[in-house]
Formats: sequence, C-alpha cells, structure tokens
Amino acid sequence: MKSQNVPISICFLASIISFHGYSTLAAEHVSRKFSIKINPECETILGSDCSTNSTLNLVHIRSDGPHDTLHFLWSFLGSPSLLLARTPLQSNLSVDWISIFEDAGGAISFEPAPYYVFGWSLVKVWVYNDQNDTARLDKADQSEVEDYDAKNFLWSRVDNSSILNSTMVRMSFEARAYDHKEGEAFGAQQMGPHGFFKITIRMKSTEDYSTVLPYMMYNENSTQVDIAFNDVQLNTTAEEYPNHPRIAFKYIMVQDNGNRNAEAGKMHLDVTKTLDDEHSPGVFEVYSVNTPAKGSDQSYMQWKPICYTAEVRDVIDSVDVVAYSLQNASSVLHEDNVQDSILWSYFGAEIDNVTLQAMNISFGTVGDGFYNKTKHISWTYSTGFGVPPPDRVSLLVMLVVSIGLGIPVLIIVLSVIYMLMCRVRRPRDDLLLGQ
Amino acid sequence: MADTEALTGESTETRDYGESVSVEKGCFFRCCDPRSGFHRFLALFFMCFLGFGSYFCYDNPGSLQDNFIEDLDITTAQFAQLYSWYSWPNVVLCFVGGFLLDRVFGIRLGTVIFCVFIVIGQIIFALGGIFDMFWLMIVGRFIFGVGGESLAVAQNTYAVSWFKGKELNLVFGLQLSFARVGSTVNFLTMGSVYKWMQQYFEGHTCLGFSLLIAAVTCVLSLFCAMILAVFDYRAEKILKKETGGPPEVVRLSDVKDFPISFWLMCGSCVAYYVAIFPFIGLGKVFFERKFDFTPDESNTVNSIIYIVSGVCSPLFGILIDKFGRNIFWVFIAILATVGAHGLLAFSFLNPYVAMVAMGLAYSLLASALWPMVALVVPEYQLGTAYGIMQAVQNLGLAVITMVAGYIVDSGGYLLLEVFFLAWLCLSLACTILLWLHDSSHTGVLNMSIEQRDAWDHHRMLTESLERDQLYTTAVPMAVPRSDFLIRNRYLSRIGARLPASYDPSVRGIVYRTLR
Repeated sequence: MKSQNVPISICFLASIISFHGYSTLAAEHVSRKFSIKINPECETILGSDCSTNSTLNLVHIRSDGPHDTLHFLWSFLGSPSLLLARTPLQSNLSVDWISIFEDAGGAISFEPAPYYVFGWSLVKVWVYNDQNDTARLDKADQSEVEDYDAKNFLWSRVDNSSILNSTMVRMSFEARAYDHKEGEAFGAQQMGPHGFFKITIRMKSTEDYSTVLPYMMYNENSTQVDIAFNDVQLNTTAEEYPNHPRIAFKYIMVQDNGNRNAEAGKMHLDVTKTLDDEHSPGVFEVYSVNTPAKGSDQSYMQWKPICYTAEVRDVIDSVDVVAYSLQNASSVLHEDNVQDSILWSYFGAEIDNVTLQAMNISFGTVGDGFYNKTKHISWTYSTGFGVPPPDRVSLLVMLVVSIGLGIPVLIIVLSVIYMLMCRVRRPRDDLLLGQ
Repeated sequence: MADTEALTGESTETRDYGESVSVEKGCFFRCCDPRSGFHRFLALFFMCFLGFGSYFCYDNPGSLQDNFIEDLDITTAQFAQLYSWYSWPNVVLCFVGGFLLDRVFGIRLGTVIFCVFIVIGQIIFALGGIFDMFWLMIVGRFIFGVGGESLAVAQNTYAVSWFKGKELNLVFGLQLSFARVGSTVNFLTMGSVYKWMQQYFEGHTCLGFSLLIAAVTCVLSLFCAMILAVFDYRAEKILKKETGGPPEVVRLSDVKDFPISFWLMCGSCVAYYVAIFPFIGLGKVFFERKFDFTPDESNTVNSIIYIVSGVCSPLFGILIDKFGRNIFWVFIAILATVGAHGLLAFSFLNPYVAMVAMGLAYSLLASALWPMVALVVPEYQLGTAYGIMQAVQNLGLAVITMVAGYIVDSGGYLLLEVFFLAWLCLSLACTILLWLHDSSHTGVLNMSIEQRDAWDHHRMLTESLERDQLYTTAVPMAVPRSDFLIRNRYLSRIGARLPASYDPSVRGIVYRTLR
C-alpha cells in the first residue's frame, strides 16, 4: 500500500513543483475578462430590438487577456455550435446576417485575421431501436436508426437564468419544438408535453471545479456544456416509437490547419484511466478529443463517460456514455450536415481543405431499461483551447492517508524504542528473576 | 478423553480443576458423556444450527428484492427500511440482551427466549406480507432483530462455556462460516421457494407464504436452542459445574470495570468491521465502474469475501488453536486488509487478488479476535461483554454505512477507500496499543499454547494457594481439618499439583483461559 502511495505522492509533489517551476506555463493562468454581446451587428438588418429576441441566438463572448483575445462564438442558428478563435488583442468580429440566413460561406469573419480557429457543431440526434440491448449505436439494425437534424430544433434563450458578467457566464438555450421539414408531420411540432432539449453553457475566468456532477474542471480557456434531453418525442405517432429507444448525438469538429489528410492532421480520441475519482464519483476514465497541434495552439473536447437519467443529477441515476471512432467528414456528403452551422458560415468551401472530422456519442448502459425508462439524459462536456486542465489529487486524500498510516507507524516506532530500552535495562534485574 | 488429548497434547486431568467427577451411571455411550469430545461436537452441531434460522431469514428481503418491491409496491428506500429496522434497535438492544443473558435468564432460557423472538418476528413479517401491510412487516423485522442479534451473543457465550481452553477458535470460525452458509442457502433457495408458491398464490400473498416457509428455519433454530438447553443442563448436573461457592452476579456497573484491553478489542473490532461490510455493500458498483466488470462478474468478486471466509474461518480457527498468539494474528489480518484496500484504491490490479486477500484476512481476524474477549473478561460477564461488542459493532456499521454512501456520492470511491484505510489504521493502532498493554501486564493475549497453559497452571495454583491460606487462617475452625484438607495444604505448600477434585467452588472465581 505504501509503495502504491508513493507514485501518487510523487505526482502530487511534481505537480506542485511544475506549477511553481515553469512560470511560463503558469503565466497562461492570467485572469481574463469576459465581455458578452448577443446577436452582434444585427440591428442594421433585423431592427433595434433584435438582441432581445430570444429565438435568435448568436452569442459572442470575448475573453481579453494581456496578449491576445479568445472569442467564443455560440450559435443556435442552425445546429448548436461553438466557434473558438484566438486573435490579436484588438481583433473584431463582423457578422453578415444576410449571408448567414442564406447559408453562404464567409458570413463570419475576424479583423485582423485569427491566429487559430477551432469549432464544433452538434449536427444530428439519433434515435435508434436497441433491440438486443447492446447499448451501442454501431451494433443496432441500421433500418431502425432514425436521424433528426439538430438545426431543425427551434431554440430559444432562457434569459431568466442567465449570468453575464466579466468573470462568469451562464446561459441556457432550450428547444421544445422540432420543425419536421418533410413527411406527414410537416411543420413545427411540440416534442410532447414535457419534452425539451436544453443546452447550458458555463464559463469562469478562474480555474476551479464545477459545482454540479460530474464536477469537471473549468479554466479561463474553457467552457462547460450541459445537455439535457428530456422526454423528447420526435415521432408523431406512438406506433412509430421504438420499443427499445436509445439516444445518440453526432458532432462535427473542425480546426483550421491545412494538412487534413496526413496523420498529423487528424484529431485523436484519447481515453485516460485515473485512480482518482474524487471529483466525479464512480468515474475512473476521461475521454477527450484532442486536435492536432497547430504551432502552440490546439483544442479539446473532454468528457467523463457518464450521463444522468434524471434532471437532478445523482450518481445512482447514471448510465454510460459511449464514444465511437472519429471519421473524416466532408461538406459534399449531405449526411455530414456541414452546411447546417456557423462553421460553414465561417469557413465556407474552405472547410474541405482543413481538418474536419465527425464523431458519434451514444448514451446508455446494457440493462438500464433504455431511454424510455426515465426519458431523460443529462450530459456534460468541456471544450476549449489548449489541453484539458489536469486533475489534482486533493489535499484531503493525501492528508488522510499520511495521518492514517502515520499514527500506527509512530506507535510502532515508539514501542520498539521502549522495548529496546527495556532490553538494555533488563540485565540489572537478572538476579530478581529467581522470584 | 482421547480426542481432547489429541488436540491439546496433554492429559485432561492435569488441566482439570474440579471438573473431574465420576460420571453418573446410565451413560453407556460416548456421545452421552458430557466430557467426551464427541459429545462436545454434537453440541457444536446444534450451536451452529442455532444461528442458521436467523442468518437465513435475515437476508430474505435481499434474495427477493425485486419481488418485494413489485408485490408490495414499495420504493427502494422503503425496502432499505426492512434492514435498518433490524439493525438500528440493536445498537442498544443486543447489549441489553447480553446483560439479560448473564443476569436474568441464564444462557439456556435466554437462548430459547431469543429463538422464540425470531420465530414470532418472522411469522409477523410473513403475515405482513400475506395481508399486504407494510407496517406489520416492519414490526416483524423489529421483533426478529431483537431476537436475532441477541441470539448471536448467546451463541458466542455458549461457545465459550463449552469450548474454552479447547477448540474455541475453531468454534468461532465454524460459527462464522455457518452464518455465511445460512445466508448463501437463503440466496440459493428463496427464489425457487417463491416460484413454487407462485403456483398457488400470487402477489403479496405469495411473498407472505414464501416468508412463512422461511420461518421453518427459525423453528429449527428454536429446536436447537431447546436441545442445547437440555445438553447444557445435563452437563452441568453430571459435572456439577456450579456446585458450591457463591454465584457471581453481573451488574450493569461492572461495565465500567471491564479491563482497558476489552475496550481496545472493541475499538479494533469496530474499526475493522466498518472497513469490510459497508465496502461490500458498495462494492458491486465499484467493480463495475473502476474495473469495467459486468454486473454478474462484480457480484461474484464481491461475494468472494463471503465464500473465502466461509471456507477458511474454521481452518484459521484450527491454526490459532494450535499456535495461540491471537493478537499477532489479529495484527497480521489488519495489515493484510490494509494491503488489500490499498491495492483496490491505488492500483488497477485485478480485484480478485485484493478480495481474496481481504476474505482471508477477515476470516483470520474473526477467528482470532472474538475468542480474545474470553481471555480478559470473566466468564460470568461474557454475555454482557459480547453484547457490548456486538452493540458497538452494530452502531459502527449502521453509522458508517450511511456515511460511506454519502462519501461515494460526493467524494468518489478513492476517497471512500481512503476513508476505509483510515479506519483500518485506527484498528491497527488499537491492536498495537492492545499488544503493548497486554505485554506490559500479563502477556496472555500473545502467548503460545504451551505458555498459556503454563501461565494458566501457575495462576490457578497461586489462587488456590491464596484460597487455601484463607481457609486455614481466616476460618480455621469452620472447616473440620480432614485428612483430605491437611494433605491438600501440604501439597500446596510444597508446590505440588493439587488433586483434581480439590475445591469445586474455586471454579466460580478462577476462570480459566482459553487458547
């Protein structure tokens, strides 16, 4: 047990040393100031009150540091997306709203041009019938996999829960209706009486653990995204609804480096095992998609393979999150939905020349009773610049282990000393032993 | 006698102070002779089955969990009440039970009464099922609990009274493994019993009648209690166990005079048990999450601790019967458990290794720790002492189970393991202190069997001598100076071994140690 303990202590010490030792790295932990603008520059086309229109959501969060500016551009126009850009300090965003509504490329730009751009978009929601209860999207009968384009959800901003200040941002977006573009149920339909699809974004300008399960780590470079998918009825008739439904999402991710076909231009899905589950109880793995480094820049999406089947998150009501391998995506293929998001608005046709990949993520554990048992999925991931912030072994663990082991060791040492002293003194009592 | 000699390596006569009385006529068979090893093991058989009913029925809800929740339409939280209403009252009640056993009922009547409690409790529990009254089931569980835990105390006391100085560690080990057998048989059979009853009844009625069938095992336990009472009564009459000498009466105030070593044992016992049972309760999900086991594999690795302890407890009992040095084994067991928990916490090594080690350590500890109480507490207080130990253990388990659940939810399994390690370290500290305390006093807890016998003998002799002096000086004329007495005095003075039938009343005061 002691020998097991040693590596952790060493890691712990090493992390302290490295934190103090490499001040260049530590210098990145400068505090940044957020400034938020909803629907920037929309007034010219959409009228003066367009930024208060809760159904129109292009949120620009600007994070100014001493040397550069990070732009977090959230869009719920089309499929939910985030565009991250690192630019020189005085760089400004310009939005051509007419081009955005026409789904034309080049509608979004930065002046001067950014150093680095990364983006992702949630493009599809899969509802599949898991007849054999494998909890895997790729093992399901493909004829029983229904896809719903995420751009067709009708999103609106939930303003009453928003926090928008220079150190903290929290915003929620909710969809309660889905626009069926074709078929019998043509037109916008409510997703059942209690159905909603909700995305909450959280940012903090300091490094800290989140206060909600699975307690992921924030820093000033990252955002946390909470997704709730509650009692969503996308099929209009009960008969169409599968008996063993499970939910999965499809993401596309893009980074603006050129060599997309070389191995160095590929993103990686990394699974890291940890001994420490203190910050997310019961979860010993971390999944992350890391983009290839472009100079000193790279980005990530990171999540714990766990989601919750109740609105109030609890370890007991948790099921697994399964990630499938990354695949190349292309704007030519309709099924990749590349044109559905602001990623297309930024990159335009250039998107086929940069790193562009797609990945599926499904929710559910074998034997959990499928989505229709609780009809709820809550999942969290964090996304941002650089590499994911490393977990810290808490001081509490170190303290308990060292005190716990220390006390018996201390008693043993003291008693050995005491016994040795008795040994030394014993010869003098020799004569008395006759009694 | 041959069996005893084979086990102890010495003649029984030399170890017998006042027990060797001529056997009454009519005992033609060895199995009827209370002094024969065969008779003792017959008693052991009934002692083991004494607890069978209570362990079988204790886990009835566990084995039929889904049926309970479905048939009675209760929540998981309500289901958990079936267990908490068993354990919480016992935080106090089994201390009371142990005291009543010593003071009021005596072991024979006490055991029968506790068995009656479990029979009635289980029947009420079953009736609650038949009439679909959940509150009645709770009442039944409560009554069952009152009997069940005190019965465990009675079982320990019986074991000491029949096997002290003989195969006590083995007996404790066997009783432990029998508890596991009871629980395992329950898990194996109750499903089929329920299915069988489904042919005739359905819903809560079916559940109730299945539970009523389970009550048969409690009746079986009641029979064992009665047979044991007869055995014990007969042995006492034949061996004239408690003739002469004022009977010692245990008082509640005696508790404060229990030696410090007893309290250290309690501390070490509780701190150890809370690192085992609450862990098993949470283990299934832990193995699924950390080691990616399927639910079935997790169940297997989680129950391996019971399987290992079921098999190994009696073996370790024999080992300790042979080598003595209980406290050394306790120390080793705790150290091994620290290692096992450490492996689970700080490595990804296959958990079978750690769980088997933990199972071995647990059975070693159980066989070595519980009999130690009888080395430091006089026999007439043993019921109370075991009652206290069981009560403190129940308190620890009830509290720590709740705390552990909270820790997992808020701090994860690493913190939970660290929490258990802290308890084990506390247990280790208690054991070391106990060792130090013991070695600076009598040292009896860590003696080998030969040393313990010699120490026993020496102690008996000194006390006999003191007593003898008391007879000759304090009340010189009260006792006629028979040749017998004069010869005893002479033998005592020269330090020779006293005749076996020297003074029966000595027994009430001088308690003999066991190994």
